[in-house]
Amino acid sequence: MKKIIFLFVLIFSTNIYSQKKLVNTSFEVFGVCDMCKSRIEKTAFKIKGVKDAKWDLFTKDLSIIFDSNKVSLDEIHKSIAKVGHDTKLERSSDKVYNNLPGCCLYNREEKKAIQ
Amino acid sequence: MLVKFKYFLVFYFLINFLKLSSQDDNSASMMTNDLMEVVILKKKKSISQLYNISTNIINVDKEELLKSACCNISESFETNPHIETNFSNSIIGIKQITLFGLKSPYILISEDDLPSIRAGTQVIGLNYIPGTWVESIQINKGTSNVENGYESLTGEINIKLKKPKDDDPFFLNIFRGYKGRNELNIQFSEKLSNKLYSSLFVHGSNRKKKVDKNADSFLDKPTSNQFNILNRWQYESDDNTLSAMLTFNGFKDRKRLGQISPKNTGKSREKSWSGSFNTNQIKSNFNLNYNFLERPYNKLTFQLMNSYLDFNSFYGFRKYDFKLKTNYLKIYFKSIIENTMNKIKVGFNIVEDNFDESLSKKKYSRSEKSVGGFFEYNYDNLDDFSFNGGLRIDNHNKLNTFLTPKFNLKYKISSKSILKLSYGRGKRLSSIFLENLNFFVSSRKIKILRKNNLSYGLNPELADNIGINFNYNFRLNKKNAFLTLDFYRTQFKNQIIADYEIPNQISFYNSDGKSFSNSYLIEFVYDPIKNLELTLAYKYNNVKFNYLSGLKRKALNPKDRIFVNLNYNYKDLNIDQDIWRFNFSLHAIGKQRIPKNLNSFNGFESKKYILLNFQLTKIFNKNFELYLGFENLANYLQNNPIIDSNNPFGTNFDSSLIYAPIVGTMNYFGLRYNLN
Repeated sequence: MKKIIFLFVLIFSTNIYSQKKLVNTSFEVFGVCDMCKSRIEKTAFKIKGVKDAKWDLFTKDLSIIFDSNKVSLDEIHKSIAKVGHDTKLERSSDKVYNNLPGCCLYNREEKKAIQ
Repeated sequence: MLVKFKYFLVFYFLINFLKLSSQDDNSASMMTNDLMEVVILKKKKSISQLYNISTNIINVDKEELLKSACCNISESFETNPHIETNFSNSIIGIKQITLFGLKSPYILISEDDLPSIRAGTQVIGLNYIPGTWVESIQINKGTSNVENGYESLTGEINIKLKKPKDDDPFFLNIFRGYKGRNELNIQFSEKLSNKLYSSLFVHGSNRKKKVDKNADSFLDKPTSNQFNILNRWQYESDDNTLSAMLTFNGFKDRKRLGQISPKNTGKSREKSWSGSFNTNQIKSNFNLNYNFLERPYNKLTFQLMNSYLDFNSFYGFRKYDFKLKTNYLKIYFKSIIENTMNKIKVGFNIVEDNFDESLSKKKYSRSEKSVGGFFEYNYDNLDDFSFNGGLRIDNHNKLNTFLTPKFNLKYKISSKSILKLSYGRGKRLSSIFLENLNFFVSSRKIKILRKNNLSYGLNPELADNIGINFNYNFRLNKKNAFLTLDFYRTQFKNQIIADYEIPNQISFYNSDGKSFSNSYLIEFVYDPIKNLELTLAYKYNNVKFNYLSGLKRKALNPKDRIFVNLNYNYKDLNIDQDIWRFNFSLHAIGKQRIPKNLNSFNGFESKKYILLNFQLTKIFNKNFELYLGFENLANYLQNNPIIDSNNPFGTNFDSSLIYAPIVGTMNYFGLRYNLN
């Protein structure tokens, strides 16, 4: 029993008192379907320092929690654009966009509108 | 006295209600950051499979509960094929449920995620939760998770009671039926401030009329008088980090059973067979959650339950008392490893049960204490695979130290089909008499084949459960169709058998090794036209017990069951609201093995039979509806359910072999009114 309580306290305290600088934010990511959702979230989770990522199919918002000591918001935008999903800050290359499965081809805004 | 108390309560609360409603309320918008958001496969259906988690859970919501006649949770499973309802206890007026053909004490039953109906009290406990108190029920088939202990052998049923914050301010339900069964539910919920909410629910029911349709001089159902009360307090802090719920709950039930009119049988009152049971319970439940603001995936939960149950009864010359005092503490912490694809849960439970049990002056009192810790890991690849594995270690004053593993796995084969696998182990000490209340209305002599010095002298029950669940959804004729295939095997390593195989005797003994249950289910759900929902299911429960007389089919257990449910909601398109609801269900119950008895020296197979239920609801507006229904429309009855009922004090008297209804078609009607 002592060991169990020790383990409990250990896990609890390492999670509570860690020196992470967490940022909790959300931004718009263009996408259409469940396949997009899976791709966007998986990409976000691959970034070191990202704790939580959830993309909403209807609002197109990606809610994200990350450790700003390890990664910046710009880098997250870039990583997501890299797999084919535009954000307000970063535009995916035409080549990657065109290679997305048919159902994922969201209506793209004109280049100028983004820049 | 009781009636006066009821009126007093309602009156008291009304005054408070008026006082408080004059206070100003500026509602703060709450931010929800629930990480365990659940996606439902069958959208907008009142019964649905939870599909983005690795355990096999069927969610039953409050709309589904309205489809069954009434009134308490044990009756609410009649409109789905997952839990089986049985008829063997109608003489003592307590409905029984089974899962995979195995009795309810093998199911872990929790209220708001805390095990609360335990230690054999499952057989009576479900009868004391009024259906109108319930928000939703989760049926977890097979292995669940480790946080709620080691006692689940076949599955878990979690009952979510209505929360004061989300509940309607006022609800009234009046029900009348069943040849004299009356029921009244009055419920208030109130917002006391921006952070504090409260509810008061009262339930009263009775059956005064003495009914003996089959003229065997015994009441077909006991007369009863029951009163339940629930008081809840809910707190939520402004930033939504701290939430708490405090619940007080109690009930009181008096039941009388036995011979109806000693005059007609030519016997004096003293010589007539009678029985009674009184059940009282008080319970408090405290639940405290802390969500970390910056790290919403971290959550600390504290749950404490204290309860006292007092069940005292007599049956003819036999007297049986069961008192149970329980303290249950569970503390756990939910967090992540690296990111939310890897969730963990770590915590511990401390459980104390004090049993004060006696049967005809012989004491079976005992005290059980256990301390256990658990660790659970959950992985989700956000695409097609998720895994949930848990391990707990418990130290118990009677069972020593042991490990309990549980695993669940989900694989999405395609966008239309999902496969789930589970494995887990369960271990428990039984309350053998309470779990087999059937035999009390009989002259069967009790025999226990003792093995050790525990209270009954019997070893704990131990079983492994494996499960395979397959879901497939497709379009048929441009409409949604769902197909579910289930296989669950429960393999006992050690089992306590209540053996009715010898007439005049019930024996309890440990049986090791061979007993098992293989349960197969095929379910098809389809909406052939708009607002009409059809459910077809076939269940095959192959349950074999290793009796002293050999490995045999479990007695009184139908192998085959067919279930059909048709639900039609007639909508008024102008106001976009249901105005009529029709629900029809059919249960075909297969042959059952009946052990040898006075009427049949070799035992026999009961005939298969059909039960039909129908309910019609007229919705006047969103606040008011009337309903009317019939149960057992085909009027199937078991003739002579009580063996040697003329001679209840003789050695052959026996009502423990009931396999079908003993009350014919029953009608009921009622009203529901709510303010919102």
